[in-house]
Amino acid sequence: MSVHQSAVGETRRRRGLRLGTQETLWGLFFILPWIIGFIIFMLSPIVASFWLSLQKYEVITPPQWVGLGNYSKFLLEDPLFMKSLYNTFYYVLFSVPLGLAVALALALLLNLNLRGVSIFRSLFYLPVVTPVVATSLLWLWLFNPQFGILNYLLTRVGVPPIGWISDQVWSKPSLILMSLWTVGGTMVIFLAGLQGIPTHLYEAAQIDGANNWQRFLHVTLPMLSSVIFFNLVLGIIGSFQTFTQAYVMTGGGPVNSTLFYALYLYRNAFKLLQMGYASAMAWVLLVIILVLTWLQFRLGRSWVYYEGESFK
Amino acid sequence: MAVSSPLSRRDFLRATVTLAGITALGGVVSACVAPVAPAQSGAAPAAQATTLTIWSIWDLEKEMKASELFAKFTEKTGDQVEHTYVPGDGWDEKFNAGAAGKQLPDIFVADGINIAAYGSRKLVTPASDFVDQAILDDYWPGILGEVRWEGKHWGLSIELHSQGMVVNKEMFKAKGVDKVPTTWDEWTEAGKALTDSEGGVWGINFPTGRNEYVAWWISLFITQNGGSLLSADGTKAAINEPGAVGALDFLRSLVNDSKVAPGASQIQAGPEGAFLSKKDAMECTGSWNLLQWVNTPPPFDWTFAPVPHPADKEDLQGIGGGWHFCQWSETPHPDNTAELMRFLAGDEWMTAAAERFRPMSPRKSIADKMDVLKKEPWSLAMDILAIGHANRPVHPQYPLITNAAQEAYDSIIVGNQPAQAALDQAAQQINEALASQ
Repeated sequence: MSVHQSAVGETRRRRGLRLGTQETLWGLFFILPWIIGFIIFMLSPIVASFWLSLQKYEVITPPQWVGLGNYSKFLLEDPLFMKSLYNTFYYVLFSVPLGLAVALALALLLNLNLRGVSIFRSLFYLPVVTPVVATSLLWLWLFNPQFGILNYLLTRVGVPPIGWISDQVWSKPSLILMSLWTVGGTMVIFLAGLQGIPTHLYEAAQIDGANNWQRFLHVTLPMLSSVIFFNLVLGIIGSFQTFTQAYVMTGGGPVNSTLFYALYLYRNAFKLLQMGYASAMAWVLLVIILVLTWLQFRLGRSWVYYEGESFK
Repeated sequence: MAVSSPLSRRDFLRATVTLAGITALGGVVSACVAPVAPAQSGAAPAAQATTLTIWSIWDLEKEMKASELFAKFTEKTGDQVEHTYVPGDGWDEKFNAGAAGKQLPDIFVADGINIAAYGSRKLVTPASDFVDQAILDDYWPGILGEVRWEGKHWGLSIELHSQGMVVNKEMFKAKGVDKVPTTWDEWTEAGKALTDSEGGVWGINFPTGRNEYVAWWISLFITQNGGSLLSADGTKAAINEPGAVGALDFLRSLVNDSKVAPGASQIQAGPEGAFLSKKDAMECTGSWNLLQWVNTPPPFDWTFAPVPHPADKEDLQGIGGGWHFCQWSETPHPDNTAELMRFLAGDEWMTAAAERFRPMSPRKSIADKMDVLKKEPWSLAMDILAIGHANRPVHPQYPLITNAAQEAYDSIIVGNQPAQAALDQAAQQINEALASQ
């Protein structure tokens, strides 16, 4: 390289940027509309909600600084906060494992090579694309203690009618039962996972004398563990935010037995105009979900198998 | 090798600033563009015309052809009126967002229970500041009781309802019950005679659960029994005093002891409603259902009656006007808006509302002209108006007051808890809410 060429290169480096940096900047430039949208519509409300959580804010009057007052109110003054937390944990504890089990069972059935199986797959997925409000109204009639089909069937076999969503003993189990209606989404993910399991593993197990149950236990489940983990994480996050069913069907009753966290948050924000308190509740929910998700990732190391890991 | 065009930091920043500038400019320009006014039908010059906006929970165009009336307002004043129907489900979100961002319409409707809260926070201007006293005097006293706070009237009603009880006279006859009960004791006895627990039929059905509708109803029973939620001066809770405790104990006993009324655990309305499907004989409801039932009568002999009251107490009944037109205190057109408020209280608007929308006008002189109200069952509902009161306190902290009360009502009636203990707890919460004002 001549002295002249070297000087030109140096000048270019000074005037311009390296190709990689240029591409990065162009990339950033092109996604700028999205970044601006994210800052305005996502980041700003998130930051604002934290700021509001430190205020007493009734929406129609300017906010007043209360520091951590909203957070201390949870434990010291508001029994409904703990009640809503209990209801939500109860719902998550039962609906998520039950939902996973039912979705997996359905996926196993729909993974069989049968005629018309694609129709069944579509049918089971259909409730997922149905609006939750419409589904809730449908279930309202199914659960109706006087006219509902569930009680009609029970009385036909001599069982006394149940006050499904209107009895505080049955209300949470009823909503958990109803949540099974929408396992189609989880089922489809399981189905994809099942179809990704190499058949030679089953053949090897069969040669070793494994029966159906043993093949399920020692081949299917381990190979599906990453999918189960994925559905578990999403299921828990989604269940903690359960709102619409209780809002439409029970309003949180009877006697607060279906007052879920998100519903109570909504009530504080929009009915009682305690937007600061509701914002604090939202941040507490975020922390709960973060901790539980982190915990799942920690525990997941001991039972989740990733095929790709063997190549690390 | 292709030579790539170099992008310097300066170029990048310049492009970014340009884009941001264009975006900001677009935003500013779009914000500055005045909304396009609808076609003028009035005589006023377009340059001076103001478009006044109203938000309400009613589809006024469908219900009462409001645009015809607004056109008359435009003829008189030159101002256009733009009404937006906001269905109830989306009201809270839209209204609160508008209030927070100071983007409310010139006039909006407010639930009676929020009137004092809005008034105390200077969100609305008192209607009594610009509506003639003679017009206000023409409103039923009960309905004004719902919008009166600190000596001023803050809202204008478009409808009025009386609480009452529908009675299935055929079921009465079948069970040999001769008289529609008028006292709590008679009510209980009739309920016992009419209840068929094996057949899923209840003598009495009154609202239970945890919501404002139930709280409104229970306020009536508390008032009938000489109680109230707050002391007369509104400075402390009275919900745990004998009047309220006795009323809640009575309601609890109907559900849990006499078992003549369903708690939330035993009933949900069927496809036709419990009353229409003959699953209850006496159902607490109100005049709002009469419009439908007069046009499509139940397939049995029925009547409308006052809600029974304690035998040793005065016969007090309940009314409610629901939602009321209020003027936003920060409207950019206060004088024009006040004119529109006067129009909404005036004879032309109120007569059309009574004829096309709700026959029971909140204004007595308009209701007097409605022939339909002179016949049963409307006449029975009108009789109740004469002794009807707004039974909930008008107080800036009412949302928190009713929240505490609802919690107690639900635990007493549905949860079968002792009334005194639950109401003591509610009283404590209410006093805290009053203190935090």
